[in-house]
Amino acid sequence: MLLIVAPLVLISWFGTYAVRRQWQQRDDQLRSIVMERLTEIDRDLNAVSAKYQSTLTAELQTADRDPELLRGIRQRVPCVRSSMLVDRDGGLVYPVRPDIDNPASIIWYSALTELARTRPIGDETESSSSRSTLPVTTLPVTRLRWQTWYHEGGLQLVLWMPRSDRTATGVVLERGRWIADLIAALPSQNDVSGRYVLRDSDGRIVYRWGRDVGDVLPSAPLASARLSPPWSAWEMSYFGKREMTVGWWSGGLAPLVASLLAVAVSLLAIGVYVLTSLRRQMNLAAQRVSFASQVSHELRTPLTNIRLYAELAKKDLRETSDPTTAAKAGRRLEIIEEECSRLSRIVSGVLAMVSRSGGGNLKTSRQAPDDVVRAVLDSFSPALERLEIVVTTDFGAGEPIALDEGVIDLALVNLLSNVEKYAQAGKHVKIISRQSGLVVTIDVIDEGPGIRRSDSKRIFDPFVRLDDSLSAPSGTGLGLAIARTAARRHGGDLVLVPSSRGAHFRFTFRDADQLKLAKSKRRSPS
Amino acid sequence: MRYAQFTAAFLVCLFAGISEPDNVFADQVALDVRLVNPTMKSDQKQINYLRIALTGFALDPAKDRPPVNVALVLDHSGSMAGEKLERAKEAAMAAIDRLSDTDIVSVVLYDSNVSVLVPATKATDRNAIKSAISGVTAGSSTALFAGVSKGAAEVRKFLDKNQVNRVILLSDGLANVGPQSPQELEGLGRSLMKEGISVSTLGLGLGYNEDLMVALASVGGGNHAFIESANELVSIFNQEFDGLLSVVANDFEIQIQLDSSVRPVKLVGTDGEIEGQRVRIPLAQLYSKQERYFILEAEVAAGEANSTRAMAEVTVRYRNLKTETQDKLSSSVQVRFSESEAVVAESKDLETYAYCTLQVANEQNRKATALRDAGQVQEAKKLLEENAKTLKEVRLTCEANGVTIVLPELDQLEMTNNIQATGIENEKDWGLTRKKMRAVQNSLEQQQTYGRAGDDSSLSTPQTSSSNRKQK
Repeated sequence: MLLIVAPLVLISWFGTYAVRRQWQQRDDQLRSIVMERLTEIDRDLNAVSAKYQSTLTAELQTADRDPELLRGIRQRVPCVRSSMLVDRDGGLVYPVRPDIDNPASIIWYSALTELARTRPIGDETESSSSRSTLPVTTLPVTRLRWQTWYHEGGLQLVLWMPRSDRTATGVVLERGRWIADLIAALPSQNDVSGRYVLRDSDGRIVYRWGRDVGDVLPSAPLASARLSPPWSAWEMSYFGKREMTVGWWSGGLAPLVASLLAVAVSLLAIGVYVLTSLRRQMNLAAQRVSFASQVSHELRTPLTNIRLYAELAKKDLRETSDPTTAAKAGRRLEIIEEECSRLSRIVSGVLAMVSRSGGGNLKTSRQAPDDVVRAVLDSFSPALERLEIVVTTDFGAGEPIALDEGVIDLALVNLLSNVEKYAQAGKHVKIISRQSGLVVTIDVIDEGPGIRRSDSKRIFDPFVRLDDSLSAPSGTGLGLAIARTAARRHGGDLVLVPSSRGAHFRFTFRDADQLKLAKSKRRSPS
Repeated sequence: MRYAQFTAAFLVCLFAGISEPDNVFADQVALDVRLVNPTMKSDQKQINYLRIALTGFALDPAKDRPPVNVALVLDHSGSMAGEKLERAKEAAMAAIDRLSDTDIVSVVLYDSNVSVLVPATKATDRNAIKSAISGVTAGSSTALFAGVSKGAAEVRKFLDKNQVNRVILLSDGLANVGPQSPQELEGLGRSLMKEGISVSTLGLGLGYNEDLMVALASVGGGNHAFIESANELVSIFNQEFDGLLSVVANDFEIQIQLDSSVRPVKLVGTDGEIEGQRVRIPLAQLYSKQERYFILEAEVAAGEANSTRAMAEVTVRYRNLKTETQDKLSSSVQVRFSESEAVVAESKDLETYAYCTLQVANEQNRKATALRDAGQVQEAKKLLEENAKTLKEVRLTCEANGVTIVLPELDQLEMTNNIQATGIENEKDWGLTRKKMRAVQNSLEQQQTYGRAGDDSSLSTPQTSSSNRKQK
């Protein structure tokens, strides 16, 4: 078992470790790929702002301080919502205050005046350096600057051309337009896998794209990145694509787990198969050896006796003509007969065991059970006497019933032969017979070493011998199995009654006629 | 039936419009500038109204029409599932069939995401485009802004001043993913207009935000239609394409330079830019035989009796799509001053006055909607009733003086106001009534070629429409 489990545990440990590492690696790899992708996308978006910048630089430099041209920018350039010219004190030169009665344009105008005050101021050093290198008539060259401004519930972009004299020309970009341009620069659903979300500074979704995007997003993005200026308050996130997680599962862990499982199962199966078949074969072989040796042992004793007594009888008969000798020879022949019947009983018992189905119908005769018990005891008395085992009896089953003497005999003989073989040390055996109606109970109680509780079930199995050592008494390991089979054939049972010392077997059987009746009754309704 | 009546009435209008003997060159947009009061009372500061009218020349749509570059931006959010989506697909496919090989078309779908179903392409393989449309299924939320953004990007791929560039947006729901404020959508619309891309918005059912959709169409120089039932989709798409395929001029630049003695007050019923004495009016395009007019309210400084003053100089620059040239028109208008009330009254241009009344009534109608929004139901009702009354008075005056051309429009707007005055009280149908009001207001402002007052959806009272719904 250890041989199988240990490598399995090792394999699975290594497996999970490898998978975890793989996950970690994939995660890191994916994150870096996604970050790369987000940077790439950000570059696309940079192109949008760069385009605004280049278009507007040209426009603003051309227009410079000319309101007429600034108006043209507003009217012509799609990404421009308003153009502005601010004087050195932060006052709006252009546009002028609208003199028509339109609340929306007045609100917008006052917002622009606010904005004009917070304009960036041209860099002194930059302009002074340019002044030193360029003719005085040339305008100080300045770079355009982005300003972000929160108005109308969101980010507004302002591009300023600041001057060192604190004046500035600038444009407010059309918010709806640059959002649309960002969206247009981003992929659409059918282009990419994964799920991406662009959120504004308030965390509201501006745009989302990618395959397999349901309405509900996972709580935590795999990677997030802020956009480059001027949209640095906006954030782009990537959410692990659902397919991808599934992909990991089917691509990494699942096959590993599955193959591990398969290996484990097949290893286990092979192990179990090998073990059981090995054990069975060993059992079988052992049983065969044991059975053969036991049977031969068992058969040898009576055979030896038969030969011995037959030789003695022959010798006696040779010396003969003496009536006492003849009587002696007669006794020896009786013993031969006895041993022969014992041998035949063993054989028939084995046969009965082999044909477990029952060995045919009971051959009944009306007899008192006690008589059968007595006959068996008589046949054992020489052996028991020899072993100095005292037999006490308590007969209480004198009422004749229908029974198969052979079957009862088989059971009792096996019980008594066990006493003879294993319980000699007890020096005492008690037989109690009782009869209640048609059920007969016979208790055989010895004072031998007894049977351990754990063995109490096993002893009735065929070929089980509790002590299989060579010093153990001879036996086939079939005795109790034969006895129980016999008892059950006779409508009863053989059980081991728990007792404080020795072994107490209870053998029950019932009237054979009643048994037949019950059997036929059970059959008839069907 | 009603629709047929409307079409007939509309055709009558058009016919009357073009039958007038004026300086219409065959392939030239006509400019007509008139004052309500060409003669004003002398020696006092007064208000006068200027009407600038442009009329598109006739165009044979089979032969001369300029190519179109159109993006169909279709809502396939979850709420479109079923009948609506099927009808929309049918309508879109029918529209594709009307295009010819020189046209450019793209199809953009949006739900919570945007997908470009058909990137901008020449409409040569119309069957492939139609089969792509037929495979569309319903999705989830409504990323309306992104849909328009992508649609515009598709149009921009083949942007050309000599073609009709348009995004047609169909939506049945509230924009709930991405930007959704009217400012953002208006900003986008304004910006697209500068590029020469117009946006039409078609609102389906009662679920969409009419303020948003109308605002987008209005600044975007396109049409807006309220489509009450999915059954109307095919016919609305057809009408939208009728317009689209009959554009004769675009890229307008309308400038009004007023005399220094004249102060512009406002453009009545429409948006425009007023800076000092200069007024600029945006106009995306002019359809074949369409008359489009604008009304400017101006305050004229007192003049001496019997003197004449050049009041305004109107310059119109546009791209003629038939000749593919940049054309320029100009016209000026003078005002005379007289002591005599009778002379002033007699010189009054009733027709121009009637058009002014229509636009003023439209502004009043908007106010009524705002009042109703604020819960002032009775005030709104009163305003609508007064509106109807004024329209009736003007109609009777015109009738009595033989000015027939504006009679159908006056009549219809009067009726519409009356119906709305009744319907506005109905709390249950306010959503429906409001959508109709917005649609009519926009249609009148933009002088749309379809969906105007008289369209069956704006004429049917909420009561009958709810009973109609029951029958369905």
